Amino acid sequence: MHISEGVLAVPVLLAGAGVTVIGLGIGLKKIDAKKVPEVSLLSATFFVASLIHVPIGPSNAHLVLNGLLGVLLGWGAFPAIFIGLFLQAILFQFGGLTTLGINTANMAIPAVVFGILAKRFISLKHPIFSSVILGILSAVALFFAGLLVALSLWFSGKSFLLASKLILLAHIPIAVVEGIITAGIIRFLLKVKPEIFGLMDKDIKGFME
Amino acid sequence: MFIRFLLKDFLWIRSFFLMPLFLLCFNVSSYAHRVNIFAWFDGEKVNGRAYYSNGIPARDARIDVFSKKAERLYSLKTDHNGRFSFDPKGKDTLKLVLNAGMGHRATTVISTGLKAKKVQKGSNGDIYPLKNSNKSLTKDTPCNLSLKDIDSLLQLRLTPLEKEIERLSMDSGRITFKDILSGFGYIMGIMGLWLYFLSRYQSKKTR
Repeated sequence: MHISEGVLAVPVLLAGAGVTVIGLGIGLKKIDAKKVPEVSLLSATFFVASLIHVPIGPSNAHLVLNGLLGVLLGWGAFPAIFIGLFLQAILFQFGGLTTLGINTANMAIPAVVFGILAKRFISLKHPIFSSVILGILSAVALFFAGLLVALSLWFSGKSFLLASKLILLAHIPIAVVEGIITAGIIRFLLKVKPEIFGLMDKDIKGFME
Repeated sequence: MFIRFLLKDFLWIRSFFLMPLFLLCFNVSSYAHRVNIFAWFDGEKVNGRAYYSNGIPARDARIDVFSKKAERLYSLKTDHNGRFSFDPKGKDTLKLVLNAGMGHRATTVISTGLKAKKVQKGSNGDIYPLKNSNKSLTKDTPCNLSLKDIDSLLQLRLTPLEKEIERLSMDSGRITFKDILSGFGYIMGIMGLWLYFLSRYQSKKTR
């Protein structure tokens, strides 16, 4: 998921940086003081999630949890992922500072899109059903992120078929694991702190009641 | 008021630490999406290895070797153990670019270091680094050791050192618990700054 420095072409890097700046702007505007601790908490979760290697099959993939961030934060996923990736680049040398923009965009765009989609399925009356649907959606969000990584490699002149095959294949087990983890967390939150979903967006409050 | 705030938001403060730490329990020995490359001059060859940050070798990864003038000398692949080896063709500075696929890339520059040391030349023009330490040793001093013997002796002495350097360079690429905790610290700091600016902005607005 983390593209290293020196792999991508300059236009791709600039486009990624542009998208990230716009996303950060919208995200920062939509977050009020009450939501800041949530964004920070999920940013910390994202920061360590990449260290968790899921040893299934021959692939070596790690958790991303961008689906979970999207569901809980909406546009706030942009700042959360940006901060997490920035610290990963500095402390772990994952990715890099020049690829920070494109990496943020690759992981945050699916988070926001699927987060908005997933809100339609959150229901307190059917907690198990909604957590399963959200788990599946978060797995799709991870695949979407993998597809964006393959696309950015393709636009930089790499063979798209090879890259996408590799990336998508490597992410099948991780998507399954991530779907299960996300479904578990959503189920837990629906039980313990259901207002977290209502706090995200005022529209959802009416929907839930 | 303050106590109520603490009680209400205590869940957040607790979960701030609990949730990431809970995730960490899955696998503390971290796997990272990062590749490392390590190479050294070994006599007439260059040897090296490529590996991910937890020590898993990068198999069948492509390595491009460039000279100082950025011309490509070789394009080779690592073996099953992530190792590779090639003939440097007399070049003393080489740039190695590792490409492990899926956007993972690492580079290293290696050098024999001979130029930097300025090899001393003896009175008869020989390369003769022991000039001051042993005056009786000259070109004509009888010596029963062949070049091959010296080489194998040196090998005996240097192999443990090579292994040690390899281990150290691998350790330096590893992610420690310290890194992870400092990341949490930074995130809490950013949160504090963010809240500070938000509260200043809001108090200005209400004024």
